[in-house]
Amino acid sequence: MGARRILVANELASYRQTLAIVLRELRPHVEVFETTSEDLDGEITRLRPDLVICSRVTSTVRQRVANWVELYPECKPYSTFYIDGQHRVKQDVQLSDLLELCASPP
Amino acid sequence: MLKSGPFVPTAAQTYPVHEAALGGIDSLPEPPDNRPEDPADVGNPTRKRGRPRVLMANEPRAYREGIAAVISQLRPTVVVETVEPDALDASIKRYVPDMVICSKATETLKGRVRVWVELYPENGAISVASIDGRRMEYTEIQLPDLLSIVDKAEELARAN
Repeated sequence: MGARRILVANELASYRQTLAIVLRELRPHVEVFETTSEDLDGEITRLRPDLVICSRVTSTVRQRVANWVELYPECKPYSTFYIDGQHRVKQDVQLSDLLELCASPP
Repeated sequence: MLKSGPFVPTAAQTYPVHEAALGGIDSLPEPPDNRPEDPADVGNPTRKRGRPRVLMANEPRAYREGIAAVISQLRPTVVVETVEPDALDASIKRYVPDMVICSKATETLKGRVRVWVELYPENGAISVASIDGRRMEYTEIQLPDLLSIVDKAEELARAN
C-alpha cells in the first residue's frame, strides 16, 4: 500500500505528536493529520484518511478506513496491521514499519 | 532533509540518530540561542567530553525511535543514543548521559544522572521529570515539554 492521507490518533499525547512530526518530515508528500481517540470517528468522516494509526480500533475505523494500524493496544507489546485487506499481528514494531506504509514520492 | 535509513537499527541496540534540523514546526519550542560553537568555547570543560548526551531507554520501541529522531533533528547540538530498557543502568555508566528518558527510573539513574524523565511509567498518563534534583510531575506530558527539558539538560551540561 501507499498511504497519502494519514490520520494519527494514538495515545498518549507526546507519542502521537512524535509520530505525526516524524511522518510529516520523513514523508513530506503525505498528508498527516492528528486527533485524539475521542475525536477519531468524527475525523474519519471529515478527513477520509486512507490510513489510520490508533491505539484502539473502532467500528468506524473497521468499516470506513481501508488501512489501519492498532498500535500497542492497551500498551501491549504487539500491534495489529490491517493493510490491503490483510490482518497481520506484529511484535516489537519499529518506526520503519510505519514509514513503510506511506506512499512513495510522486 | 531527514532520511529513513538511520531509523532502522540493525544488529546494534544503540545507534546515533543523525543530524540536520527539522523546519517549519512552529508549535515546538525553539532551541536556546546559546549554542557554544564559537572559539570562545574552547576553554569550556564540557567541550572536552563532546556534545551533551541524551540517552533514550523508554518503551515501546517505535516511540523510543521516534522521540530520539525528533530530539536529534530539533536539537542537533545534542547527541541522542537509544538502548533497550534492560540496558539502561549499564548504558548510564558507559555513556555518562546528561539526560535520560526511560519508562522506569532506576536507582542508578537517580544517583548518576542530573536530568531524567520517567515517561508514562506503568503506562499511565503521568510522567515524572527530575531536573538537577527538582522533581516535577506532568499529567500528560507533551512533546514541547520534552524538548524544554532537553534544553535544560543542555544548559546544565554546558554550565559545568
